[in-house]
Amino acid sequence: MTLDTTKHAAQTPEAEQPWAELGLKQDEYERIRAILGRRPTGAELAMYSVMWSEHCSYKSSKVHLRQFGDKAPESDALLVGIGENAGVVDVGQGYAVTFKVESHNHPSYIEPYQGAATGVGGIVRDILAMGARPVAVMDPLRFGAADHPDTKRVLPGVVAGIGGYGNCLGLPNIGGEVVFDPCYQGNPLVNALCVGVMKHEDIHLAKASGSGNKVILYGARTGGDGIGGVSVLASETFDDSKPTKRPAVQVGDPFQEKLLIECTLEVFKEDLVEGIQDLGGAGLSCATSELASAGSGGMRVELDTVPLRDSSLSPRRS
Amino acid sequence: MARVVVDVMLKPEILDPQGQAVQRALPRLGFEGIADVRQGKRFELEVEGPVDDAALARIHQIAETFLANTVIEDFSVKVEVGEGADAAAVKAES
Amino acid sequence: MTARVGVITFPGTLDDRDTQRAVRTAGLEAVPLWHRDKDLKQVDAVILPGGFSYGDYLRAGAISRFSPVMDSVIDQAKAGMPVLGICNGFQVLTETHLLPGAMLRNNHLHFICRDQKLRVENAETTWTRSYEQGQEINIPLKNIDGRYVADERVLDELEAEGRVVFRYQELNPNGSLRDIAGICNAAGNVVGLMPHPEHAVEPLIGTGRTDGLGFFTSILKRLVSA
Repeated sequence: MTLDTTKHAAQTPEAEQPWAELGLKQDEYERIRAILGRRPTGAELAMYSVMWSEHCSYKSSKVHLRQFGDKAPESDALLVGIGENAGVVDVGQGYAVTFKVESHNHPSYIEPYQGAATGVGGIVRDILAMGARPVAVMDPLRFGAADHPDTKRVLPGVVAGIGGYGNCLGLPNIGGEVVFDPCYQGNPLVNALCVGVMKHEDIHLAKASGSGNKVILYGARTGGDGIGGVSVLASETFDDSKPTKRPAVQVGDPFQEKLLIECTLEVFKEDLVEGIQDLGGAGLSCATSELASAGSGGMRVELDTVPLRDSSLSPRRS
Repeated sequence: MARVVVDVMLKPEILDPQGQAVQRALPRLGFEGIADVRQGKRFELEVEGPVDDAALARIHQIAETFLANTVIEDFSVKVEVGEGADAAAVKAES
Repeated sequence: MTARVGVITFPGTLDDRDTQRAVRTAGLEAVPLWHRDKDLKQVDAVILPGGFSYGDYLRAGAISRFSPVMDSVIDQAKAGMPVLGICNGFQVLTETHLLPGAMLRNNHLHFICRDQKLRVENAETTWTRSYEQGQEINIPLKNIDGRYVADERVLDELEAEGRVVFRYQELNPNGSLRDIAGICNAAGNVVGLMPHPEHAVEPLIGTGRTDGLGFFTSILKRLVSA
């Protein structure tokens, strides 16, 4: 197999690339070629497809979301604001709380239990990455009509997934809300919120500055489940005629995440961390490039050294 | 490498609500004629070296002390011989 | 010198910090113990807290029982050291056979989290002497594998010897046989129960009551008078 290096890409400008399958539009693909001055390599194309997905870049909703930053009143209590993994608010006596809510709608629609469970898992990592100990979760939920068969299919699994995963991490579900309305049929909203507590001096940011720092990837091994999940799953409407296009929903491992929480808090305590970013739906692409671009330099990433759950996985897919 | 299979089942007198839930769901899904369902665990052990009496004794011990909790569960040990060959069964009572 | 109570942390243990806090609230010294250390650090008693040790993979408590620290706990428990297992800790104690029976999936198959009324059936054990015989207490319960089972002979024996320490009141939340919520060994130094006394030691949180504090003051009485 020829490795699709940047050099190889420059020499083979006409090679067919699966940009459409990765959820990119024609003009977006041309834009990538213009930026790079050549065609992207397979790995680069995969990175662009996830980073430019609605899931990661909020390309269609950014214009509205920006108002949260622009219109927010000035406050000394806001220690960390928009742009980081989660906001941090001063609560006095040297303590701060951090909380964030995030949706996991499409995975929960496809596989209610695992979709909702991994939604909790993801938001807990965001809170952890801020330097806080996660202490509780909450869930605002929207389902279709209460008597609709699809609601009966989705709701029990979602509720069990949220409760089960949180319980395995020792996080109580301290509240939530639920609304039933036909407009959510086939598109339930499953949101998970996590709250964490920390001292002011424990705040960590997704920013890796300085040179010579080691980049450590830890946690679960990288697997093929969830690949393309953000670029395809989160942006497409479902069409029953094309089942093969549905990427697998990830299966959560709360035991592994509990170990991750304790391990991360111990590493913080030893003052070893310059910057930290959790891996979300876009995986390594997002975590590495966001850490580096928010900091002062670049990052050398050897994809071949990423520990894999499935040895057949190629660098393009990590 | 030979494979030895250890099946672990709840003892007959122990209530198995998971099996019951499966059994109750069957008619709803249009599958008739199943009188009872009990759910258990299957362990596939890949054995290094020959599966002789000593190896089987060791696996029996693994099953008895670790894979099954004999307070609530029974187990059976059987050897799967090669690809395609009939599974020769060495039944071990618990 | 105050008494020292060891609190074991297995990978996946969740309630170790709450348990340490409850121990300190009762005026005892909490000593964290790590699953990989055989050394019990000269503690006077040991608590196995709740959680999902080793992810509850295989069976709840099944893998933890083989950890180095449990070898020491088993030896010491047999020699009379007070040992308390809460929830997952109770499951570990049954897997080690320090306590009889086993815990299985709740009969309704769901995770349950509620404030649970219990009746103290034996106020003579090392861990319950701060309570009155027959006293009703209300502490949190949270589990999916909480259904206590044992064969008829064992159940009869437990009842005849007064070794049923707690029974569920008003509602049996998981199908436990004979409404059993907690039991002890023959000597009364090893107690296990599914509900969580360590979550009910301060009026600010949980049930708003301090019904769980008695476990920890019981052990204080015993250790200080010893």
